Order: sequence, then C-alpha cells, then structure tokens
Amino acid sequence: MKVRSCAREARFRIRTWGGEEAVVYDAASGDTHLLEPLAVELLRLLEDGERESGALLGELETAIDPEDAQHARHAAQSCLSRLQDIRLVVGTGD
Amino acid sequence: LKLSELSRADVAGLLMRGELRLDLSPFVAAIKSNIPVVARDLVSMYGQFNVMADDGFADFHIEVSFDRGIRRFIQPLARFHFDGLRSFTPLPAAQAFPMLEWGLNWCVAAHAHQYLIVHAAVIEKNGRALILPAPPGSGKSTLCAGLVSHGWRLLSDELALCAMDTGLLYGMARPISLKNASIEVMQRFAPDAVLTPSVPDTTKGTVALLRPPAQSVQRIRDPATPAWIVLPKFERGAPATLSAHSKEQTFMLLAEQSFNYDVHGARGFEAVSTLISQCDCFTFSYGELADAARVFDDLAVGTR
Repeated sequence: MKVRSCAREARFRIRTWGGEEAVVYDAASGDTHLLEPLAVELLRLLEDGERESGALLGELETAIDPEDAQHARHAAQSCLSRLQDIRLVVGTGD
Repeated sequence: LKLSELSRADVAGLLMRGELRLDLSPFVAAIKSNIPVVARDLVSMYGQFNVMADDGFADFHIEVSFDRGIRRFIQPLARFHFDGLRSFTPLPAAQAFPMLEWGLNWCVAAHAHQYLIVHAAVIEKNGRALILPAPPGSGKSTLCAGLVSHGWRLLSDELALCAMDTGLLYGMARPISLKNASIEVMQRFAPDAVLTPSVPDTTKGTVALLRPPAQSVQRIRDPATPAWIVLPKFERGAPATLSAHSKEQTFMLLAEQSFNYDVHGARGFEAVSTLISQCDCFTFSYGELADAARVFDDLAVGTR
C-alpha cells in the first residue's frame, strides 16, 4: 500500500523551533499534537511524494536502530499508525 | 482614591451595598459582600488598588455573602454569585475571602477571551516577563512569591493574560495564593510580607493570601514582553538547576494549561506559537528560594 503526507494541506499548521520535534494544529478537528522526532523524520521521508509503506518503514527502521530490528519495526509501525490516526498520513489506495 | 484611604467601616458599607468597584486593570470588579472577613481581607490585600466610581462600568459583578436560612446562625456558609446568579457550591464562611479570589479567577478565565489565558504566574524585570506555567503542587506560587519579594514585579500569580493582538502580557497584580507548607516558607523567606490569616480545611488545604507589593500595583497597567518560560518543580533539598527545555514540549504544556486555547482555534495556535518564538524555555528544579532568586537574577541580567 502506498501512503502520502497531508502536512502541506491547508487544514494543518505545523511549527518547529529548530528541534527534532514539531507541533501540529488540525483545523478540521481543533486538536493540537506533538510530533516526536520519529514522526518528523517520517514526514520528511514523504516530502517528495507518496511511497510504498513497506519501503518507507524499512528506511525508518534503519534510522531508528539497525542493531535491534524488532524494536525498530515496532516503533516505525506505531509511528505510522499514529500519523494515520491523526490524518497527517493517508493511504492512497494504490 | 486607594482602598487603603477608606476606613474599614466605609469599605464594609460599600460592600454591603454592592458599590465597591475595584480597578483590577485590565478589568473592573464590582464586589458585594455582607461577610466581615471579606472587608477585613480586602482592605489588607487590596489597599493599594484604586477604587472606581460606584456607578461606573464593571466587567464582573460578583457577590460573596452568607447563604440564607437558619443554618447561617449555626454553621454559616458563604455563597458566590456572578451577575446575580448563584454559582458554585457554598463554602464555610471562614473561606469567604479565598472564595472571592477563586471566583474572580473563574470570572476572568471563563469570559476574557480577548486574551489567551494561561494558568501561570507572570513576573517581570527590566521590561521582560518570566512566565511560570505549572500544574498545582509544582511550587509555582512559592517561587513567584519569593521572586516578587526579591525585586521582581508581580503581574499575576495565577493567570497569564496574553493579548491576542499584541502578544503582550498583562496581569492584575492581585494577591498571591499560598498553600500549606509554602505559607511558612514565605514567612521565613520574607518576614515583612503581609499575609491574610491562614484558612484551614479548604479543598486546597490551608491557604493564605500574600499582599502584592505596592510598586507592582502602581504599574498594574504596564504590560510586559514575554522573554522566558520556565517550568518549575520544587524538590526538597535539590540544588537550583535551570535546564533548556524543548520549545515544542513547552508549547504543549502551555496549551494544556490554557483556559481558552480551544476557544481560539487556529488563532490560539498562532498565539502560543508567537509566545514560544519570543521566549527561551527552561525547566527549573529548586529546593531553596534564596538559590532560586540568584538563578533568576542572573537570567534577568543575561548571564545565564
């Protein structure tokens, strides 16, 4: 399945202050979320367009901890799920 | 005319008739009460505040009076009214003055949406404001009181009012609410500080109010520019330690501690973003007020 970032859509406002984290406001829900460094990295990997979720997670896992594949896979998948929950990342249906 | 220029009997009379209007800039409160401790503590705590014309505009019309009925003669209760309507559960009459303070806080927090309102203390030095947002129990009020007695100007112990249009901070320079052990801590740290008698057995424990410095009240209309956001934590015996803190995490805490962030929607997000951009953000743990005062003096002169 392919996924894409919605971070540039008008409903979202994202701010960061040079750190590894970010905050995002969703005008559709009125909610504000803190994005941890992994989520910021995942959104960065989607900046150039949609990607296969498997390949995306693989790249993210390498960035997390190449020595502990199981932990890295779990963290990457949790991160993607959370971003999908808040609609910052969506499946493209392909 | 300052409240201290009136006799206590005059103040009691104005309160009985609901004609006392206090300048709590940027607001005016019209206060009514038939409870003697309210007159006593108002004179003690708000003596330096200006009294406004008794028929002028008031933002909030509040009353703390004896609850009616025969119970008044056995175990009297105080009842809070806002705009003539009963509000909140009545409390023992001995808690009438803290109830007035809590009620005033609620009036501002629930209605003054021209500001982003954050549950935080705000103090100022050299025109730059230090914001201390924190949940109860963090030592925020104790630290605020200690720094105010050490030369910082008090804007607010409880409510940071950030103007939505300018980003400037306002307070009301109202009395500082101290709880439990912090009452004795402040009495030791600042022996000249004037406090109300302690009121035990409130929902917050034992409380006492500390009179704001006259210089702070005189500058009640002067806003301050946000410069620092510090998340304090009292830890017995801990050295005073100021550490840089993530601006993003500080953003989330400010939003959580705001009474009306959600009311403002996207404008609230932008207001907090602006506040965070203007400020250096820190965590601060401390065990002694004297150590804390030195750290914040250094911060104010830019040596930290």
